[in-house]
Amino acid sequence: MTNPRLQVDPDQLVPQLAHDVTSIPMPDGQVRLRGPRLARPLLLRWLAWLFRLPVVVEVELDDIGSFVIARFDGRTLGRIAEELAAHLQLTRREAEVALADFMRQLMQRRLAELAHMPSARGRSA
Amino acid sequence: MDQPLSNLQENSQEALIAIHGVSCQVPAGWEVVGTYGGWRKGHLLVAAGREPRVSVSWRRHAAAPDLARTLHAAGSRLDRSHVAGTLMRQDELATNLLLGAWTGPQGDFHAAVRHFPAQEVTVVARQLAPGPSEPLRQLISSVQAVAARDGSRWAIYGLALDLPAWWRLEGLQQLAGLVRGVWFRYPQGRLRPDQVLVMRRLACASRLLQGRTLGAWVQGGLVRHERVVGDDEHQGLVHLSTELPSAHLWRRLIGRRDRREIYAWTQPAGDRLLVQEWRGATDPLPCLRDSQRSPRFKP
Repeated sequence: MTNPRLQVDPDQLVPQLAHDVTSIPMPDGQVRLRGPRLARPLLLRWLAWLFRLPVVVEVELDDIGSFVIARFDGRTLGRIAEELAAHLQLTRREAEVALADFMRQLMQRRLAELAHMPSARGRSA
Repeated sequence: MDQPLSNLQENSQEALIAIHGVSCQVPAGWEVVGTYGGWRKGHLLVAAGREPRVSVSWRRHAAAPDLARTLHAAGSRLDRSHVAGTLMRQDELATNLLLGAWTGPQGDFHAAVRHFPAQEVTVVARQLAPGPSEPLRQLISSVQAVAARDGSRWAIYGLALDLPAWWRLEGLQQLAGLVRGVWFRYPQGRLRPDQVLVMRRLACASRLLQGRTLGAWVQGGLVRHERVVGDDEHQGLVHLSTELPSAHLWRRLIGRRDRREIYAWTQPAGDRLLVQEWRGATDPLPCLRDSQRSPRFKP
């Protein structure tokens, strides 16, 4: 039905924060992610200074986002989806869709990345 | 209809899917992953996890189809990636019910076609992955259809409701944590609808309410210039009757107001919040909460 090259197995993907992203716990239990300095040309850097634009990507997560980020410790996407489904009383499919959307937004901001599990890489090589 | 929907045997190993006047039982764990088309013709895809299982299609027409030819056509396009094999066997399981088996390089595929003469509906079920014929036999045997002039049951993506005749699904949206269905009523098959029903099923009800009462949450969602003319709260069911300026320009100019009936309730089992919204002039729909409580329905 679908192109096998486009199929992604969440049980083989391990999400992790990008290497220069720091996770800052907030007093209320939530998490703030601070990314790298935004690389801008000189003119845009000057305009950003003029308009007081942020120089780093900084995102404050709600409790669900913090719940997911706290599980970026080597667990696979599939396992995190299972735990999210149990936590929020969602179906597995709903949790997977929500998690995929969250990961897409984090990756667009270069705050997170996906790594293949070592065994999967070995098989595909 | 061979058997009224209310007489379906409850089976904990199966789940009911009902859409556009066609219903079937699928094994537990199978779920609908896509719906296409509408009342006259369409199809839905059913998968178990990430594995596609069956496609169920339907078409309404007055003339009786040639079942053997329909079955042959169904087998020739079992799946896009499937190499068409040879039709090995064709069984007539019952009157107006044919099952065919194809053997191809990937294994045995099966398809079945069933016609309901009184309801003028033909249903075709196809396997999307090679496997034994038994699940498809059970599925096609459980299929039921209703005629255009009869009321129908809808059970999909966690929504379950029994609607009177002439209600047609116009849109169905499934997002993470939200299922929304929109039905229009075309009385006696007219071209212009006179009533609208919107059903919403939201996940994480406790997070949505954030300590507020359900009534306060519903009132917070009213649009500007909408006036509450009656409210009631009983056994966890919130009912609001409201009036708002008509959406139609001429009706608005002559001072007519549209009527909206909103029912909301929660399902503690899955922490879901259901909102039923009816809009029209006369004969409002009653609360459809009892449909959700049906023992046949398993969200």
